Formats: sequence, structure tokens, C-alpha cells
Amino acid sequence: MKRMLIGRIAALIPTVLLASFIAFVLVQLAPGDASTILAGENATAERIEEIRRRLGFDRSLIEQYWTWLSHAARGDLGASVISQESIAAAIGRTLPITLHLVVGALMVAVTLGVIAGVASARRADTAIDAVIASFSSAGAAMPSFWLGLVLVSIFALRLDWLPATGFVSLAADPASALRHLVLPSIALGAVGAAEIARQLRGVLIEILASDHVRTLRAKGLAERRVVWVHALRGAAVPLLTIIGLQVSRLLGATVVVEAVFGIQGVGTLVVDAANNRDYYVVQGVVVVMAAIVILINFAVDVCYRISDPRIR
Amino acid sequence: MIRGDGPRRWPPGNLRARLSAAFLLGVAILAILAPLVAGHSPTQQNAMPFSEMSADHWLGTDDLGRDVWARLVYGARASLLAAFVAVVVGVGIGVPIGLVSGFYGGWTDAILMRIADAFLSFPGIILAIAITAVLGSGLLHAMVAVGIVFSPSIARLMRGQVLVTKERGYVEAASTFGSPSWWIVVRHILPNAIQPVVIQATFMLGLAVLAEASLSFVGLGVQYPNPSFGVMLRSAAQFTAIDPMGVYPPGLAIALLVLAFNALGDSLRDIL
Repeated sequence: MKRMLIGRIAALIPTVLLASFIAFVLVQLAPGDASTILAGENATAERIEEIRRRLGFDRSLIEQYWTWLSHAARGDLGASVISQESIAAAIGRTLPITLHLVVGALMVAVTLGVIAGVASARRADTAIDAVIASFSSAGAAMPSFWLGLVLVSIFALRLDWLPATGFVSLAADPASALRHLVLPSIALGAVGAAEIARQLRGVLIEILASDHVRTLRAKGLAERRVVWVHALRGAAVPLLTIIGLQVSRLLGATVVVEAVFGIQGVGTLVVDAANNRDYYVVQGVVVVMAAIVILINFAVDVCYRISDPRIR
Repeated sequence: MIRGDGPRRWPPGNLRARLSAAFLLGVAILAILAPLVAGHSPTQQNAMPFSEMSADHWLGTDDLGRDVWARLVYGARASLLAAFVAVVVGVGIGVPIGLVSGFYGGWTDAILMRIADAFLSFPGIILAIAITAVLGSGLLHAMVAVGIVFSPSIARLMRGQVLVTKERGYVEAASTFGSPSWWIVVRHILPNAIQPVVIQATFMLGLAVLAEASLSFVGLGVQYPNPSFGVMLRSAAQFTAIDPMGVYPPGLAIALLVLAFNALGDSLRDIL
């Protein structure tokens, strides 16, 4: 167990280094660097050169990367060229908001996905199965942000059941927070639900046909218990893998969904920065997002190995 | 999951493939013939804003009084073209890397696949936004960015196929007869390993349509006043209170297009 963990962490290092290097180099490729912005208009070449030296832009790429990485590892991602706000602070302010959305969407995706997946596996090749399959094909093809717009126009503007835009923290006012989270969570979670239903169906059909399940049925266990307890337990690890993949997709999809619901999360931060060419903010967000994805993949991988000793 | 284990869906395999191919072909023809079938300019005001559907304006007009049908047809042009650019870039980068990685193996393979893994640890859209920010916004840049985001998974897929194909008898035979390695790769391995990439590319066309819509929606893709599905949704989104139906034409167009690409990909997987 301990050896496996150490091995996994060691395998993580090159990925983390390469991902951070990609994020670093990406910004170096941008036309013009911060010195031209800081020097202002009509700056002389000497003035720009002086700023470049002061900021360390005259050193080798690897040297600059190392300096940047050692700062980043201590939580210092630099400052926005436009607002001067510390990038770590900006991400710290917006990330919890985005995570609210991601967790809400995951809850929607897992609940709907598991119910639909179980229903279609139990009734494989029936009309119900076909209906669920059609819904999940449609769900997978719909842009989350469009679904968000449709939900807003129906449930917020026409029926006035739920707020159309905005975000309230769970800590500040739980009831209002949940009301604000419902529509964006459904918009974001629908695609995930379709994916979970589709994959879970395949896994469950295989498990339900296994000797292990036949034995459980033979000893007279209620079908409901067989499916919801025993078969689902067998499907837990593949399910966890699908959910892990969904987190990465959700972190991306939330960018556009935040724009629909006027939510000031990481997505809005990175989109505004990209539109204003505030490269360092973009870089900071990219690095933090990659770190989250790598950590989640790591956690899923470890769970996978713990639950199935054959792949240690 | 076992191949071909999908649920029975309507319409069944072959018909589904034909229907989706016919739909895509229809959209492509409309997009190509846009100036002939649009009836109005997609960028100029030609009626009162938010006009109802009428014989002259089949789908009504938008917030600036522009014909929605015309914008949809021209938008299909931008969206389809964008999707092709993204997939061509993704395949163009991914396939050679996968070939080299799988054929040479060893350190080359280890390093290239590590880089691919690192790229795959970024959420796709966020990496695409970052690359677009660096290249500068605009449809072409945005789609090159999406193509770069696609390339590592194409490279991984290609590599896996090459590893399998490399062991086949005809490849060994070719190398025994002294064919140069580039010839073996191009003549024997590539044609026999490309099939899954073609299927994946079909799915990616759908993903690219979604990516174009997302990036244009947040202002990084197609620039005003030119239409694309994403741009149309962006302006419709600002007026949902006045014109709640405005989000449906572009949204349904995206969903149908993606559905058709996905169905075609599924059918190709079953047929090939």
C-alpha cells in the first residue's frame, strides 16, 4: 500500500512538471511580454530593456521557468497586469464559487445517471432502454450553456420559480444558495448524467449476467437488493473512473455556463483575462485547473488500485 | 465495454448512419449555397427587431432586425468550417506524433506520451481559451487552439494502433525485404492503423462544433457582426427576457449537428 502510493506519487512528478512547463511556455509564446505593457506607450527601447532585465526576461527559458515554478509552488502566481490583484487571491476568491457549481453538477449527474443507468441495464433492449438511450444521446449533444439558457427562459423568466442569475454562498444563506444553484447545476450536470447512464448500463449488464449475481438470485435475494447493493458495488470502481473524468469536463464546461448565469467564478476570471490579454491570469488559472485534474486522477487511480489488487 | 453492446436505438444502425449522413450533407449544401438560399444579408438590418416568423423572414429577426434564417445558414458555414479546421489541425498534429511514438518506441515514445499526458491534464476548453488568448481571438485562432487540444488524444489513439499493426506479418515481411522505415510507416502501418482515428475524428467534429459555440459565446471565436451558432446564442442570450424563442434556432442547430456527427461516429464504429 505504502509502496504503491510512493510509486504513484513518483509517477505524478513528470506530469506535473510537464503540465506546468506547458502553461509557462504558452505565455512566453504570446506576442510582447509584460515589460511592453508596464513601460507604457511611447517607451524607448532602453526603458523596455531595463524593465525586461528587472523582471528577469533576459535570462534563459529554463531559468525563468524554475523561478516561476518555485514561486508558484509557494502559492505566488504573480499579479494581474491590468487590475494588479494577486492572481492567487483572484483564484482563491473565484474557485470556491466554481467548485459549488461543479459539486452541484456532479450531484445531478450521478443521481440522474445512476437511476437511468440502472433502469436501462435492468430492462436492457426494451422500450424503456431505448427511450433512455435516446435521451442520453440528446443529452450528450446539447451544449450545457444552451440548456442553461433554455432553463432560464422557462423556469426563471416565464414561471418565475427560480432566480435567473447570480450566486449566493452556501455559508451566507443556504436556502437562497441552493435556489441559485439548481438551474446551473442541471445545465452542467445533464451531459454528465447522459455519459454516466451510458457507461453504467454497459458495466451493469455484464455484472448482472455474472455467476456471482446468479448465485445471489439463486439464494432468493430480492432483485432490488441484488441490483442496488451488490451489482452497484461491483460497478463502483468503473463508476468512480467515469466521475473522475466528468470533473475535468465540468471544470471546462463551467466556464461558459458561468457566463450564462452571470456567476463570477474561475470561468469568468479566465474568459475576461483572455479577452483582455491578461496572460498571467490565464496562466495561473490553467495551472490551478491542471493541478486539480491531476489530483483527482491521482485519487481515482489510487482508489482503483486499492479496490482491485490485481493491478497493483 | 464490449463493442456493439449499445442499446437498440431507433433508427437502427444502417439507417441511422444514412439519415445522419444525409442530414450532414444537407447542412453542408445549405452552408455552401448560403448566398443563394439565405434570401437576406446575415449582417444587415432588414426588418424591425424581433419580428415574428413570416413568409419573408422564415424564422423572424433578431435583436438588430437581422434575418435569423440567413444568419443560421451563414452560421452553419462558419461552424462547419470551424469544425473541419479544428479536426484537420488535431489529426495533422496527432497522427504523425502517434506514428513516430508507436513505431520508434523507447525513449522517443516515453517522452512524447508524457507530453501528451500533460496536455490531457488540462480541461479542454480552458486550454483552448488559453491558447486562443495567446494567438489572439478570432475563429481561425480559436479552432487551431481546439485542434491542438484534440491532438494528444489522437496521438495516443494512433500510437496504440501502430503498436498493434507493427507486429503484423506484412510489416515484418516488408522490413525483412529491406524497405526503408518511412516507407513501412506510410505504406503499411498508416493505412491499416488509421481506421479508429477516422471514427474518433467524426466524434471530434461534433465536439468541435460545441467548442466553436462555447468559444464564440464568450467572445473568443467568431467576431461581430459575422454569424456563427455561438455568436447567435451570445446575442440571443442577452434578450431572453424579450424574445425567449431566440435561443432555440442556433441551439437546436448545434444539438442536431452534434447528434448527427455522434450518430455517424457510432455507426462507423459498428460498420468498420
